[in-house]
Amino acid sequence: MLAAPGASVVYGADDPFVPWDFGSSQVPEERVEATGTSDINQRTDSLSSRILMRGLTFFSEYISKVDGDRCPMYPTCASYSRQVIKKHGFVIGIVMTADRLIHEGNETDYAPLVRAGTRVRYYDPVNWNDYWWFNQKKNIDKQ
Amino acid sequence: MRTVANGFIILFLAFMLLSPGHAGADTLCDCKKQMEFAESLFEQSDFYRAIGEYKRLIFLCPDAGTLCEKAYFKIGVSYFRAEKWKNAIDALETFLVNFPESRMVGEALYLKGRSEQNLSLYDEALTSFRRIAESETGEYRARALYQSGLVFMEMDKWERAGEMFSQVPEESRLYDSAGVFSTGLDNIDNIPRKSPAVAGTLAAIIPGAGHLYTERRRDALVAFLLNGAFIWSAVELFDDEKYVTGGIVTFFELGWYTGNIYSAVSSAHKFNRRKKKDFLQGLRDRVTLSYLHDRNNAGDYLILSMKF
Repeated sequence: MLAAPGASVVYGADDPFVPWDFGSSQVPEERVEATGTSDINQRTDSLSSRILMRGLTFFSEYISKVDGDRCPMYPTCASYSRQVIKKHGFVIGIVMTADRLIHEGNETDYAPLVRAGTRVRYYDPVNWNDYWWFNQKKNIDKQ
Repeated sequence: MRTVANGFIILFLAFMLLSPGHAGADTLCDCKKQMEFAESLFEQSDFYRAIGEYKRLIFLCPDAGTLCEKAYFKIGVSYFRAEKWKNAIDALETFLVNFPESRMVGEALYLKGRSEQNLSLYDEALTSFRRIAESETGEYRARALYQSGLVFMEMDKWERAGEMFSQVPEESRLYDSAGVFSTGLDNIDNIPRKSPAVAGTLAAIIPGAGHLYTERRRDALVAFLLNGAFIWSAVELFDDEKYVTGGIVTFFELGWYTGNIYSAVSSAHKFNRRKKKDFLQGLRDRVTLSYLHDRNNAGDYLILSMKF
C-alpha cells in the first residue's frame, strides 16, 4: 500500500529499545490506550447495543472472512463500530459508524499509517472523531 | 619455623582486614568506575543499560554523595532521552524529592516539564516551568518562560502564550525566537476556517454538500450516492406499498443521513484543527529548539535554530 501524501508510518520496526518494547503492540502506546476500553464508558448494557454488538461480531467472524479484508483503516470498520457503541451507546454508535464509512475516502489523505498485524493501515481511532464534543479527560476522571 | 610463618600469615590477614583506608579507597574507586561505565553507556545512547548501571551504582554506593546524586539525575535524563516520558517524570520527581538542594534541580524540573508536555499533561508541565521561573534566574528562567509559551500554544491559549513569550528577557538567546512566535500568534485569526454549523446545515439540505464545503470531494460523493440510493429505494418501496421493507430501508437511511450530517460537522472541525496545526508547525519549523548531549565535553546543551 502506498503512503498518502504527508502521511507517515507512526511506528517502525527499527525502534532501538528492544528490551523495553519486546512483545509490545505495533501501535504506539498512547494510541492503544486511547482506543482501548480503559478510557470509555461502558454503555453496552442496553438490549439494542448488545444485539448490534453480536451482529458486528458475527460479521467479523463469519462474513468478513469470506468477503475479504477491505477496510483500509485501523481500527477496522467493524472494530471501530464496536468501540464506538461501547463508548457512546446504540444511537451515537450508529451515527458515528455511518460517519466512519462515509469519511473513509478522504481520511486516507490525512491519517498516519500504522502497522497492524501484517498490514499497514490508516490510523483513525474513535477519539479522533469525537474529540470536538466528547471530553475524554473529564469522562475518565468521572469513572 | 612453621609457627613463625603462621604468625606472618595471621599478621598479614589482620593488616588487610583492619586497613579501612585501603578498603575505602577501593570502594570509592569502584564507584567511580561504575559511574564511568554507566556514563559510557549513556554516551553510546544505550539508555536502557545505562539506567541499569546508574541503579547499580546507587545500590552499591548509597553513601557516594555527588555520584549518587548524579546517578539519580542521569536516570531521569536517560528516560527523557529515550522518550519514555512517564518513566522520566517518575525518575526526575524521585531526584527532586531526594536532592531538593541540588544544583541540577532547575534542569530536572525543565526535563520533567518537557516530559509532561509530551504527555499532554499541560497543567503539570506549566507547574514545573513556573517553579523554574520562580526559583531560577537568567537563561534557566528564560527557557522556562519560553517553554510555558509553547505549552499555552498547544492548549490554544494564544494570549497567555503571547504573554509568556513577551516575558523572555532581551538578553536571552531565546529572545528572537520568542519574538517570531509572538508575531506569528498575532496572525492566528487569519488561519482559514470552516464553520461546523454551515457544514452541518448544508449536509442536512443536500447530503454531501457539507463535505464539499469542507473540501472533501470523495466523501461528498459517497454521502450523496448513499443517501440518494437509500432515499430513492425507500420512496419506491412505499409507492409500491411495501411498507415493511420501506421501513427497514428508511431505518438504514436515517443512519446514513444523520451520519452524513455528523461527518460534515466533524470534517469542519478536523479542517480547522489541521489548518491550525499546520500554522503552528510552520512557526515551530522556523524556530527549532533541540536538546543535545555533547560526548566530547560531557555537557548538555539546548540548540536554537532559526530560518530566515
